[in-house]
Amino acid sequence: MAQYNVVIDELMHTAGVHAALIVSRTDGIVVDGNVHIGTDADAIAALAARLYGRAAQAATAADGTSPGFLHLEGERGRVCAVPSGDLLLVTVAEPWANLGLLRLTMRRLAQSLG
Amino acid sequence: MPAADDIRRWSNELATDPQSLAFADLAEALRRQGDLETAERLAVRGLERHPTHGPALSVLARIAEARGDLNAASAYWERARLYNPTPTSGAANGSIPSPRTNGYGDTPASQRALRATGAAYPTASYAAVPSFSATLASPVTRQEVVRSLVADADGLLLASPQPSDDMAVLEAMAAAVAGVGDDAARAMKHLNLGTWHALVLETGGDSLALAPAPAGSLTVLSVAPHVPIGRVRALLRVATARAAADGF
Repeated sequence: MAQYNVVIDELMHTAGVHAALIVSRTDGIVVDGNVHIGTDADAIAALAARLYGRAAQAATAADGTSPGFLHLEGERGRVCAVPSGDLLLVTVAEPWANLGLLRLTMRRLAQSLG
Repeated sequence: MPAADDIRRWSNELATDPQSLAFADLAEALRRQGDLETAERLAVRGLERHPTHGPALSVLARIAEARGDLNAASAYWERARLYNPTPTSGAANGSIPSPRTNGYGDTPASQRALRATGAAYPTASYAAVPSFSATLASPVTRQEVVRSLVADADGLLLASPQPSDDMAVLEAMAAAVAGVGDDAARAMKHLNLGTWHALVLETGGDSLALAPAPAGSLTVLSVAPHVPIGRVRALLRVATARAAADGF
């Protein structure tokens, strides 16, 4: 879908991003995406959807509000996710990637998807 | 609040014996009275003689928090934890007070309140739920951190400085975050990204921030919506270091 391609392309052109996916929130299946060679898109989609679902449950328990941008930080990289309706926009990025820029870009693109 | 007699006694002790560890008690007493500059000077000077004295490092961490310098605070908490691998004894022998006594903690009232909830929690361990000091010291950070807790790997509440009337929400949060740490670790492992050290989730209301703690437990912060996301991460770093220094 052309709309998805635009979103994926813009994310993949953000410095430090090596995977950009649109994922079904409910079952963790890849809807569309682009990843660098050697990166398992299916694994990213499944893990990100599961993690997001769990974190969203925790956030709801805390104050009952709907979750937004998620950021998981690791030694050698970061995973970001933002919801758009039934979909989840997911990126995997290098630790040096500009998180602020990535966050703004993902939020904007998630709105354009919805 | 320490009595003027205590301050006089510790001052005399230091005057008599400059090597005494009473400098940390005195610095803490002065900090609590709001004299941050003198407290800091005293703690820094004492650390020149006793560079691995955990209580003095925790005093400096709290002073840094009160000034809003979260980077310095987390660095001091890290050092305090480093020099205090088994935090089960008090200031007198040079270690950080036990989380169960929380000698230098800022929340004795809430700790008492938690203990007072023993009737609702029939087991002995719940009756003595320890308070950890992640509600940060300065009035500004208190307005930022709505709730903070340490949850174990089974989703049970391990510790929190929050008052007992918030217990139901704290326990719901602890239960809800169970497994999030495992999922985060699994994602990091599968994607070859190393170990995870922070997870932040923005919401329409409070932000949720988590970090791993020993034995599969999690440090959890709920942060007010007006707090910028970069500051949420900084608060999480301080809370994590502080919980670790408290023995969690």
